[in-house]
Amino acid sequence: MNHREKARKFLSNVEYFKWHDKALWFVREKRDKAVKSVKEWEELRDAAMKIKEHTLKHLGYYLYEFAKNAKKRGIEVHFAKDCKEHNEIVFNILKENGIKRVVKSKSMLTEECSLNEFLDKRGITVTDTDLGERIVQLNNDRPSHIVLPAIHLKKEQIGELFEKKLHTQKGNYDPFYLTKKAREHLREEFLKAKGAISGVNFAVSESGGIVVCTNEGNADLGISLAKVHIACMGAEKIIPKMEHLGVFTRILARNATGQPITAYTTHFNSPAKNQKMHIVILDNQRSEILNSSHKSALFCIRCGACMNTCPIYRRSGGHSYSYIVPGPIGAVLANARDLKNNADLAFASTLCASCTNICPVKIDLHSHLLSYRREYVERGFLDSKKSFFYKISSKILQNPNLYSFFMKSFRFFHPILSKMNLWGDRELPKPSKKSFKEIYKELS
Amino acid sequence: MREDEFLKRFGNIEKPKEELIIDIKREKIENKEEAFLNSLNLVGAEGIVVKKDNLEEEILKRFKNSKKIASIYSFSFANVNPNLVNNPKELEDIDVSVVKGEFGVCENGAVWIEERENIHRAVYFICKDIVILLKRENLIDSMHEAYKRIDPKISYGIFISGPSKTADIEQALVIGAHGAKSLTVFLIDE
Repeated sequence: MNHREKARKFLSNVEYFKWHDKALWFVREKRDKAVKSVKEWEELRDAAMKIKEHTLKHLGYYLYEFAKNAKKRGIEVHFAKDCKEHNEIVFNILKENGIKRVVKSKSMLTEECSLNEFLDKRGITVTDTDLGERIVQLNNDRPSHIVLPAIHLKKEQIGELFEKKLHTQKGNYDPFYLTKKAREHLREEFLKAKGAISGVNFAVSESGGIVVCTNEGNADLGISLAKVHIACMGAEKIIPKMEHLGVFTRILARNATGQPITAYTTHFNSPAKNQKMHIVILDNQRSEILNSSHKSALFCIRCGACMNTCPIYRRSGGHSYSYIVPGPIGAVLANARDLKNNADLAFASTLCASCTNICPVKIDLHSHLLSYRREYVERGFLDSKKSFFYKISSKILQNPNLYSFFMKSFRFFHPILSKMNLWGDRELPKPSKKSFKEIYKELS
Repeated sequence: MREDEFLKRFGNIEKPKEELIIDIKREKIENKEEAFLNSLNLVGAEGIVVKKDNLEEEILKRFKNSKKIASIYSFSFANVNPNLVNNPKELEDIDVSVVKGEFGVCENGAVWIEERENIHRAVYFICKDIVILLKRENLIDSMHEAYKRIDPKISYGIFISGPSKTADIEQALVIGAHGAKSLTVFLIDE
């Protein structure tokens, strides 16, 4: 099923889609309030973009420095060209240390690489510890949002899931109660696990350390109780200096959830006593995107605001996107990776530019989508029906006489054409009774 | 993949000639203490100004029902020294952690902690309640000033802003996800 078909299915339950739309708009409104309290917000966006632009331009240098400094601090650094290499590196670290159970905090990169599945097949139990991710994991589901993984589920659905998996009280759907039960359940997992896997929000070149931002404290608790910490990051997570965190820590949480900062912003610059720390840096086509006209997609700091604001995302849900990251940024990344098979996502947009306006690092999201549409047509991927219509329209629009003739016929044939439903869900607009030319003639 | 092969994919490793200068101008906060206390409130934490001599009494009063109070400092109320434990998992049953903060950030209620003598980082997360001690005068405006004060050479450091929280079930804010369920900052007047 393509995005359009999945969206149609999503929209078939009116009450549910309205609830979903409202839940995300609520987050968007919280964000607006937080952002308005910062007078220099636009300067911060400019600065964030500037830092990302500069870093990506010299990414070779900053990666080199980062790895050098991290190694000096006793951190082992690994380099993975693709997901297969990444997963094997993680597995080998766990195997060497005799680890069978790991706790994992939120990391879109490990989702990108389907790390859970990979480790599961090799006899390693991975427990996601972010509440939303744990819900999704227990539900054999995937996250539908990068910041709010279980935003697509109602509390009743979560309550029923917990009844089955965590043996909670029947019919108790109170979020406080369910969260308390999840805390107890996951506390046991934290105490059992010997390894912890985390994502990385920022990797600082000058210190060789990483920064992890969370609200629940799950990453911190998992890492601080484990013998081995493995942090997985994409090569684009690098920033040059600690002082640049001043900009990013001010925009990330405000834009994501409307909080002034996440509850925990942790700087891991070297392993704790009696602990081993590994960082795995992944390419997986990032270097290709870096060398393309779509490199600004790599600026993304994963705040998720483009999803909350997107009229299409809010009304089609994260699972309608075939790529692991949904919403406008997900559509761009999916297109950058494989245009032919993800082109439906370039069209999953009204091009209203709300995503571009909300993006804290100023990624020109809607322009990327528009240019992917163009590329898609130029490369001949468009289906024959649409392609035929575009060719005909192009001829007609270039020739005034042909255009007049066409419009006259269109008026005549409109009742039949509108019944033919050529454009799927869209209604064929009604033509005016007379053309401008005709009205003009009458008046003069 | 080998490091040099990997790096080659991302361009050369020469130091950039151009300098990256970031300078964000912002208005100064007049009443820092008021702003900080407001931010603490916003993030679900509590801030209390206390005279140095009354600190121990205040903490005892607030946590009189807590059995295990942990601190690496020799306070009369502390009955667990986390540094004496081998495995941080043994700290699972502590009720309160009392730790020292370096400075507080007015714009977001975050407190910077980098206790170099502390061995187990878990003390900040595994407890039910966390107490952060901060000198009253150590308040700064924003994260920009904060990072000017932080040495990139530290091993570990954390900003904590309020208790642990989640809104993963229908956007309902629940305080106390995996970390501490309450956070109290004592602003100490010396």
